[in-house]
Amino acid sequence: MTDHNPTDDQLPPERPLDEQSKARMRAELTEAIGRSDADRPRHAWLVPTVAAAAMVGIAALGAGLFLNGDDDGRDRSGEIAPAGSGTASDPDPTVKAPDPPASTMPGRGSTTAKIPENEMRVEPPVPCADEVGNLLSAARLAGSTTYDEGTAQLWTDGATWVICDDWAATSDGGVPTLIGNRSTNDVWSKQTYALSQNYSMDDHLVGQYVAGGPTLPDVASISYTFPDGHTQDAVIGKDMWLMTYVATSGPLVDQTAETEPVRVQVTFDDGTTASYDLQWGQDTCAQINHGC
Amino acid sequence: MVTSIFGGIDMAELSDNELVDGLRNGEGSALGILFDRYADRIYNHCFRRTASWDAAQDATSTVFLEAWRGRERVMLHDSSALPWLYGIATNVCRNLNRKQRRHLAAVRRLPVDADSPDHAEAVIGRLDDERRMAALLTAHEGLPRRDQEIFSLVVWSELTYEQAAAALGIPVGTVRSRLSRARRRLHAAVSEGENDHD
Repeated sequence: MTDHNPTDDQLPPERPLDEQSKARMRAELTEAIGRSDADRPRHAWLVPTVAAAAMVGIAALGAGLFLNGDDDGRDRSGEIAPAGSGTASDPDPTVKAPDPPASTMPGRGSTTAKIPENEMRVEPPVPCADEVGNLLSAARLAGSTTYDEGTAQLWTDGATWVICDDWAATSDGGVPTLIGNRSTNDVWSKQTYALSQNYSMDDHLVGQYVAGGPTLPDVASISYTFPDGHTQDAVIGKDMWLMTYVATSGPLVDQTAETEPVRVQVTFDDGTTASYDLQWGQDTCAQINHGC
Repeated sequence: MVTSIFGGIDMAELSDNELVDGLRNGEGSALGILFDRYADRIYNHCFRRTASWDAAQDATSTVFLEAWRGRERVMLHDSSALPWLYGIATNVCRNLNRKQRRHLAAVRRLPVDADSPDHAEAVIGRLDDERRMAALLTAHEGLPRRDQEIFSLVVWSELTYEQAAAALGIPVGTVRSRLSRARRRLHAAVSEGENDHD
């Protein structure tokens, strides 16, 4: 969180609210509390309305706002928002508000905008060979699977394997996504099936989910069922297996479904099955570079 | 810090846990202490989302009003109410009205070397803050909205990944992955903006 960022030096310094403004805001809040909650008994943050208004400009007496008392008891709940606040909505931080129309997004279409969104410079995509080489210098390509939106490659140096997926790099430039970095003799566990999730920067209404690794002996099929109801079967090849799902709409994109786990069903050659529930955050950040 | 003694208890010494309990019980005094404790943090965060100190004041008032209205849904993260307040602030700033957006556009058009000898130093400083912040937001707005919000919470307001995740109601891993890309992309945008000025 304390990494240096390109904008750090340009960020204006923080300023405290001046005491006069604080007093005015306290008065507004005090009045609003009295208006909005007149029907229930309470120990309020109470100053009668007239006294509250008089607090503006006498900040040094702000402590008086916390004296106990009662308000006038009238219901004026429709007047909660202060003048100029611009919103009297009822936001719930756990519920995402819908996106405003694109035409009303701040800065969109501004003639003074220096960097239109569609002209932002991005880094060129980094080849998998280069990115994998930074991690496993002796790794060689051991398998490849192409899917509709990209290509995933299996690389190994004999002791360790990694999957390199180029979806994000192709979409947005920069480094491809690496998954795995696990021993070729690794014991199977839920983490064998852990997901990597990515979002397109060009179209943030697209989310990609990827899992894969070297082909698992005796495994006939692997399927992932997502909270949006979609079930995606992994492609199992001679050298590697890969599951990719690109969600373009619905609760996964809206993130309203990310409290429900992703169910993995593994079916073995003998017909037996095993299942795992992948928890969001804990089991869905399998990438080992850029992020998680 | 404004303090009050109520029933022999110094309210300012109460933990967020205790204040949130009070808030749920409809005690306005609890909101008052939370306001004194966190108003400056919310105010500066709102400034960084609006590039306007005046709009930030209005937004800060609205955040605490909404906190009062939504007090039955109050959530603590690691015994702190601050991420919840940041979550409300994110929603409030997202819903800025047209007047505030016009202000942002107007600030962007201010000349960089504006000479205002008649203004008090503090006023010039605030104006300069707004101009600098508007320039940053211009680059920032090239990011998807949700990435803007994560970036401002974690990088500018210095929330931890976990606090930002709690504020936005998303997984920590999502915060990490989006922030990583947002940083790269903003870096490119800011560099390009600097080149344009050269």
